[in-house]
Amino acid sequence: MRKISLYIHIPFCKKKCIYCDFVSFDDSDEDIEPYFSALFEEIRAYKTILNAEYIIDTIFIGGGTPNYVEVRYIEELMGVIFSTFDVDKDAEISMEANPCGHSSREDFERYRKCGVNRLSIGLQSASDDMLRQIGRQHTKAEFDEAFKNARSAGFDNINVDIIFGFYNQDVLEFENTVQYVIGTGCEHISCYSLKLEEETPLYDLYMDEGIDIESEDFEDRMMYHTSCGMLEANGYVQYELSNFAKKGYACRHNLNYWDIKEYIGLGLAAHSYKDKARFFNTSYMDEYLQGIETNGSAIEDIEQLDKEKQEEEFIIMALRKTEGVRFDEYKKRFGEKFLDKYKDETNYLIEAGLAALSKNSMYLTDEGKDFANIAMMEFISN
Amino acid sequence: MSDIQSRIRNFSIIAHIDHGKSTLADRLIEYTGLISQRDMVSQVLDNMELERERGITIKLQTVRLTYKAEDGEEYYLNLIDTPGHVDFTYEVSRSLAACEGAVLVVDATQGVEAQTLANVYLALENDLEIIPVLNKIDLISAEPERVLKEIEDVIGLYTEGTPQISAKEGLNIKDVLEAIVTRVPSPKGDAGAPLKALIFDSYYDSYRGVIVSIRVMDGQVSTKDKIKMMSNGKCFEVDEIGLFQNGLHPVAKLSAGEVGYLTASIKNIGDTSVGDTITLEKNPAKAALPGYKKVNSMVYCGIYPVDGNNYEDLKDALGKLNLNDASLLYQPDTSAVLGFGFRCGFLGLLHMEIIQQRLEREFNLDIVATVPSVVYHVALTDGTVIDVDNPTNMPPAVKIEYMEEPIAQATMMLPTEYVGSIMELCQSRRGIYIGMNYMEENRVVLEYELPLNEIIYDFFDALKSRTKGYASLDYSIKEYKKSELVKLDILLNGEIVDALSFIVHREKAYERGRKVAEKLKNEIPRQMFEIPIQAAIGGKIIARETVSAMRKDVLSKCYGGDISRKRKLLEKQKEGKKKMRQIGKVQVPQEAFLSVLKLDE
Repeated sequence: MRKISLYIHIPFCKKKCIYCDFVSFDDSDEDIEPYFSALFEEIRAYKTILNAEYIIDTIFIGGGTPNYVEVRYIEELMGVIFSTFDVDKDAEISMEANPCGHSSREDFERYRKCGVNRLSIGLQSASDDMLRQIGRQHTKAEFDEAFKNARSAGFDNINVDIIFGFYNQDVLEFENTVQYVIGTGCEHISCYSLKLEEETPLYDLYMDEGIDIESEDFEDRMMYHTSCGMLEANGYVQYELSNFAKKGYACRHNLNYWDIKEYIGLGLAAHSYKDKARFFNTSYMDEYLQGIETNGSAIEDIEQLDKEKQEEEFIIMALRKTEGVRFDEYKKRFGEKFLDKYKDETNYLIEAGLAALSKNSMYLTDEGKDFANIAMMEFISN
Repeated sequence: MSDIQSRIRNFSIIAHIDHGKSTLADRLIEYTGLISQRDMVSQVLDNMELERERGITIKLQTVRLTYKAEDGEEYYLNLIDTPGHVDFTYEVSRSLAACEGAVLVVDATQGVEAQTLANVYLALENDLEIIPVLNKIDLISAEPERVLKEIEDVIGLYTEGTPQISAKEGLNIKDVLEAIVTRVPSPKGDAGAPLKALIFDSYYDSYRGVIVSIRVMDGQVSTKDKIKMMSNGKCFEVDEIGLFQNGLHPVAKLSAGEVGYLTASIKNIGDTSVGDTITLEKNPAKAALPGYKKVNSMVYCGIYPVDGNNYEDLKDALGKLNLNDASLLYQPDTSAVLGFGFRCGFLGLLHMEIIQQRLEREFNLDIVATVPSVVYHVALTDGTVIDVDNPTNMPPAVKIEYMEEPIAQATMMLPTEYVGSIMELCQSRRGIYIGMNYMEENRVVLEYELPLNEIIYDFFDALKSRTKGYASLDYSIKEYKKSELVKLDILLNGEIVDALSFIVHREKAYERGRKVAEKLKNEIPRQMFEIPIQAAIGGKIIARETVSAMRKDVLSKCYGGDISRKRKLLEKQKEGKKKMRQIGKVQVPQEAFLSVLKLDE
């Protein structure tokens, strides 16, 4: 049996946050019904591809805001998945949720009942001021209530998302957010540094105000290292640049990405990796709906990875993880000794203080985590 | 004189840049039917990609036209194209020596410009019949009366019957051809005398070896003839001889007065120096034709590959460029920070820029060019005098008795309203005022003595921007003068970057050091550590700036399963890094080296 992961994209939100550039719509509710019909059809079309040889190891329902659409859509989605594929009985099944979506205790009970066993709830900040500024549709109190509802509905594996690095963001305010999240007792925390993306309202705002994003880098790093320390001290082990979990609660789905394992992405703009090929669906709703209707597929492009690219990806993704590049795993995949092949690169990074060696791995130091791109670039050929 | 010889006309077209020289050449070719309009790529003679893009001629080209004149006779017109820019005066004079006449194109909307004058002087030196032609007569802004008067007053040419044309529209082209036939003298020369043929150009063709462009002055030359180069005595057997007609058109022989080419299995372009005289091995001419003034490189800079592994590629590329451009000098050089590369000599700044661009475009090389320098004379305390074109080679101050720098005589033409501003510019560049003449009510000719090392620092750009593009410039080297010069070093992260050192007048050193440091601060991206930038004379720091340390370069966002996006971002970043040159620990972008030149006023 070959293990594989599923990603399902739900591209609908109540209101897009000003920093978000993911494919999602806050003005297209009329597409929800046809979208799910198409999505179900796409899932069924994969039945022959993911035949009896495959077993689903993890599922991630992301967005957008999956709990923005009526609960019945997610119930039906899980029904279609279970009836189409062979899902492992221990599969990790995550769903993203925001406090502005369906988040009563009854809603969470229904999600749980249909198979979801892990939640990822977006908080971003515990300051109502900050939440308002970045266009979130909820208050800290509303998050607090949603979180408690999820707990009482029986969810015992919950991630909370927070974000930092906004212009003029107060370091103390962010420490408060981290402290608050620790206090919820959640099992997993994703703590992201803001990435200013073009074509977002935030980007336009920064440009209009003439804000130099680099000017915030000092505070950004202060927040990052402070939060890393606070989280570690409270039992959250860092296992990736931005991810922390209590023992045994690392996100298996995301780890599959970083370990370059296979997954199928379903829905608008979803990405897949299978048989050494990366492929992804169109980002245009009408193209997606039409593609599924006429061909049962809406793939926009496919890239077959040669050995060089496979190695590049393996290494850059491994460097995101705290454990770094494992030499045994590298040898198993590529048949060579990592330190033989990348002697110069490794020495350079160690000398620069960006990387260090353990018996079986090369990993980024704390300084290396600030300059991960520079370290990763060493392994990009061309 | 043979009947054919009396029907030959050898001429060039000379003009200030953009006055329409190449367009007129196209029309003449088209009118005489050598190439049909349909097949014609615009501006046939400018056949280098870069030339067409920049609208200038760099390498000269030659073409033979057949024209049936009003008098019923058929004439053979050899058009020898000339480069239009100030840097290429030398090439212009080469062309002119092969001609009896020159068509002087003047833009009827602009009038006489600095290079118009410079070209006229060259033509007069060569004793040529000059035929003024007013171009762009179709434009509403054309002022033919004013410009004709200017030609008479400023240049002193008689303008009656001056063809008034539009090369672009093909208007009155025939007038130009008639003027050439009736006014340019037919070539003198005795076909029966021993052979004397002037080499006015040569280029390398990978199939045939060197192709030599010649003007036969006396005698004749045929295939199978044994020829001899009079400067070095080397002999070759002629393989092919021909005319520049539809490319290369072989004929049996060329006689006195004719312009054409020959090939003789010449493998080394150095054996065919331009300006040399070809004669026959048997029955040689007694004396060679007067050669040209040997061209001197005015501007030098170092050229290094961004990636040291590409040294051999750079060497090959320079070798190939040199085959077609003998005025490019290059010799191996090493830099403490840039490794192996070449010290290159150029006719001027434009020439330098063009060579750099050709290396990048035609040979796909990433190069770093160091700050350009002129040639200084350095008199040492031991009584010897050395030439220094590379600041690295400047001896320590204690060993220098005195230094001299090249001084140019600069001629600028501009509207009167800008005179104040340009005089101020010239003063700030250590210029010495020579004189000013009114060409007409609102245009003046301004003459200054300017140190060449001030001209190469961005002078032309400053001139253009202060006059909204209305000024023109021509200069020639007049003399060397004693000057208080110092070497200014730039230190990055505490290390001297030899490639950024330059020689500057003592009084300007502080200001320029400060500006360079400021400029570099903006050009060098933040890196993982703080980078001090210092300017120093001897051991003394005169300016300091700091590139603050980059705090982070990490993309921690999770793009779902979109791993190729992350990979592509890194690939792009790596591309950018490849274009940078590592100096010590510091990554320096190529532009930083050039930016040192572009110090805005």
